[in-house]
Amino acid sequence: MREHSEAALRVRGLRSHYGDFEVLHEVDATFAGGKITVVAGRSGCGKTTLLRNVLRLINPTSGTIELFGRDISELEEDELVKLRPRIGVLFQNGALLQSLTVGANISVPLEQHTRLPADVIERIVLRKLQLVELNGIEHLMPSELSGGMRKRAALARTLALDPEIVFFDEPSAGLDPVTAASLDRLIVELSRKLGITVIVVTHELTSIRRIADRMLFLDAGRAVFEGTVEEAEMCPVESVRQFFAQGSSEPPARRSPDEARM
Amino acid sequence: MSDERDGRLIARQSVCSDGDRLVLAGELTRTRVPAISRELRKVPLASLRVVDLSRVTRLDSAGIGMLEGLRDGLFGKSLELRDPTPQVAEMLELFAGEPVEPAPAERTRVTVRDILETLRYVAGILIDAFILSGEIFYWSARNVVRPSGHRKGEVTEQIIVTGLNAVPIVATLSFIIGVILALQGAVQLERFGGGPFLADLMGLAMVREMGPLLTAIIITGRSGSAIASEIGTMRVTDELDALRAMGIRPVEYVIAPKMIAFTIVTPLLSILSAAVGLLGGVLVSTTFVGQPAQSFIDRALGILGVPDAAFLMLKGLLFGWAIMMTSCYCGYQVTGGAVEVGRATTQAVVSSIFAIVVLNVIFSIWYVL
Repeated sequence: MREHSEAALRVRGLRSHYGDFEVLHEVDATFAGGKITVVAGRSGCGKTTLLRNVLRLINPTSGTIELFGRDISELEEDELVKLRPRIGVLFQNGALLQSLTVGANISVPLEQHTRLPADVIERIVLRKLQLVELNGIEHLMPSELSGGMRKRAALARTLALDPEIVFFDEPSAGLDPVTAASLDRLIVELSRKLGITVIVVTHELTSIRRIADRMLFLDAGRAVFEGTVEEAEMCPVESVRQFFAQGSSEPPARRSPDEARM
Repeated sequence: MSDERDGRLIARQSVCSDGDRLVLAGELTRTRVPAISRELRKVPLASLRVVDLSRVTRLDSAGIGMLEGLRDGLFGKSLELRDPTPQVAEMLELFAGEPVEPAPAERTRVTVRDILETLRYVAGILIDAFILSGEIFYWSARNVVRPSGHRKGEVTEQIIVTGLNAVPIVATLSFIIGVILALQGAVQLERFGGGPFLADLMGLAMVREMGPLLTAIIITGRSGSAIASEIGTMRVTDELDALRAMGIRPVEYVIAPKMIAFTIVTPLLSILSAAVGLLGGVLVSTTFVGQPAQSFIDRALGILGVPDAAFLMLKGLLFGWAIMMTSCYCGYQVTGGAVEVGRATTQAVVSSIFAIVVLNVIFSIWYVL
């Protein structure tokens, strides 16, 4: 298990725009090393934009992103290419390369960033598939997999280079509750057993309660809460309170038994 | 509805009006609303104040839309919806909020600002295309020297897909075009007794113009469209971002192998096209003109020099690069979904052919000068 510094990732005064529209307003946040931090908030609050900024898939308007002890907000692409093998990202739909088999997908980062012999790469691919509980599917194409399997396969690719920090973008989106729960369990295991710093973007309250050590809550592009889930549930900030209240105390929107019989 | 309280009978079934009161009956649903709306057009509604819904048995969003239309027709005067049944009341409550104003129609007047915006947009496209082309050339050249930037065997695969698989169609079409060109040429030349010059005509036409042009058009249709749709789809499905997130440059990993393959394949396919086109000429020459094959080939090759061969290959190469850049650029512009991928593919084919024709004009002027 890895030794961790206090903060694996620190964001200061992060602003981001889509055209003239400001999506993130001076966001400050600290992500603890070796912990699972959930970035939560309502749809459109800027969660995914924060993730894409932190990964430098889009360039922030201003602010600093301190990752592995250095500010990456203005790093050139060449520098980022060297840094990225230490980072893993699981995209919302998995983003497996459709033209390659699952096995070839997982071997892509290994072939590109290491000089390992082919047989070792093959062994790593099988091990990673075993880790995500997907044995024997290395020869299948991504289009032959179910949504949950595709995400697991993508997770195997994400973990191929043993990253120090892994980002998950809406991991439970589009999955049935059972598959979502097993993916959550896997995320927790990865964090606990491998000591990986995990940052999960989600708005699924059930998932948040299952996995989060800490939580960052965004509201309309502003960070309005940072702390543990227990603290979040006690938080007096209206948007946070509403978020938890809707998830736990909202009466079920279904018909009464009488209506259902009609 | 002839038994309708004190209302004047207007319609057979669903609509009854007595000036300020309108009685609607039956189902106000998407299947009934068109007929009811037609009936309502015959009713004077200027003094309408009340719509009696007590006899409406069902209401859906089409019915709501029709009622809103009635209200809007009163130009701000209030309209009371009276006595709805519980189901109808529930629907009315669901849509109780103020209706959203439709977005204003786009301006049709063109201003100076619009023209400047368009120019800025076009300049932006050219700059982006120029930058992307530079990146493609740089990373392709680097991949020739250091082939580890892409998957092992990817260049070979692309050569097969773009080049080898295109051989049958390039050869067939070139042969047919060669035959057509030779037939047309032979008829005209025979009028002046210039039958033997058919070889000269075919040699120049196939090598300088038709060979590279035909190849480019076929490659645009086969490979240019495929590249644009592949890159576009990869953008939509976050595959390009996933590559970047893994520390892999998409231009180096995805595009460079295709570019290397294009560089090898397009000049060769152009030579093939010109050669097979000439064979079409040989066929016409021997069967219609009576010129022996050997004489035709000797004459055709005699009129062509080394510069022509170089010209043929250079033209093929530059056409190939133009298709590559245009298709990649169109694919990279995709931001939406499947519709945009289709649009990008069409755009790639149209723009590539346009670029080829423009390049051909430049080549022709250069050659003549």
